[in-house]
Amino acid sequence: MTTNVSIKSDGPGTGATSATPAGTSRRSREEIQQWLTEYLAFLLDEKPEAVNIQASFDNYGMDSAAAVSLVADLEDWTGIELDPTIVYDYPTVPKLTDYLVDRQAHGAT
Amino acid sequence: MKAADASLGASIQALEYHYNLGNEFYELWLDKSLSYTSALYEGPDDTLEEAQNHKVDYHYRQTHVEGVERILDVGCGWGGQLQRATRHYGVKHAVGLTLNQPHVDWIRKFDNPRIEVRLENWRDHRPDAPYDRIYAWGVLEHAARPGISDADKRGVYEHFFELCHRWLKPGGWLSVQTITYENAQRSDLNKFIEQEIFPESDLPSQIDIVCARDRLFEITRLRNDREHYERTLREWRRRLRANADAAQRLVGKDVIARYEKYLSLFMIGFHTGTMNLSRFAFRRIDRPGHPML
Repeated sequence: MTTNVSIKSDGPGTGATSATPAGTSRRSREEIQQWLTEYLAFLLDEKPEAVNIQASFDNYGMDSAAAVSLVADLEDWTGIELDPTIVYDYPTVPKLTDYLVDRQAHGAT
Repeated sequence: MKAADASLGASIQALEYHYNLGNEFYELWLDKSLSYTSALYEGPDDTLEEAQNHKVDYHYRQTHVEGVERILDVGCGWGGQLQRATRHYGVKHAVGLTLNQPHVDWIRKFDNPRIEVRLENWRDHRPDAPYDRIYAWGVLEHAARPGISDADKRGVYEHFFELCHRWLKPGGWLSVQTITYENAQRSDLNKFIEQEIFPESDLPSQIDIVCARDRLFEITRLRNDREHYERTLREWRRRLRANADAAQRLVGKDVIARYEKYLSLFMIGFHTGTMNLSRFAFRRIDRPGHPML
């Protein structure tokens, strides 16, 4: 799939989800998965239920610039410092969710 | 177009756009020697400072620099490696070329009589005397512009190696460290890099370099260290973030955002193998085209 993802200047992280101040409470697995799903839905201009969360981010046409934006928005939302490369090491919604849950449990920065 | 034509590579203005934000800005997030190329990590606990010294030491060992008379450093940046060559390796005279006046001012403050720094493009360099060793780290990334023909691009790298060959004494050595295309070509890279970070700069591939040195230099060592560059970038990014307030006062919020994005994109590029970091050691072929058969 070669869909070109077009990210709006204000970013889906502030548009598609109910962002809360950084560094606050721990997010539940369900919250994280929902946040990521809504994020992808916003990028794809689809409804969240239409997003196949098992598909690799790469299959959504996410390029490196989009990955950097996603991680920056995730950092704002979770309050955890993240490497921009996590999108490539944990390339689906469930895998990235697992990673973030783990990071929260084992000493977020 | 002739390979010696400076317009085939990035202009001084393009390089200033990236490198000329003032020394204080770079001091906030580079190591103490202000080395602005990939470090070389020898262990999991290496600091950035140690890893930058390992990088310099690696190249110097590969090229047997100990005690030589004259070395040239093309694209010498803030000159930390010139200091190391003269202080730790007994080099008698170290010449550095840079296109940025702040680099020149910085190096002259070393007040090291063994170091000479020139504000000069390598294409225009005319040595006073031949060199024993030449170093070019972070130079070939800017040698060719995007959009020039493949033949012109090949010609640029051939010209670089021809000049280095001409400037070296018989038995001389050359060290090159450069970012290279790995699983990518120019059209695959993010436009942000070309437009916002390194304008007028195209990368070489390893095959470009291997071909360009043909019958001028023997490759004695090549190591690809993209993981080292990723780790270097991670540390630069961490330091820039840790000093964000001070950095913002110096260069403004937009520049910080631009740099953070660039460091992140490059981390991804090296992490995924889109780009590599290639370190070459070359021995000069003293009689090119005269095989001893």
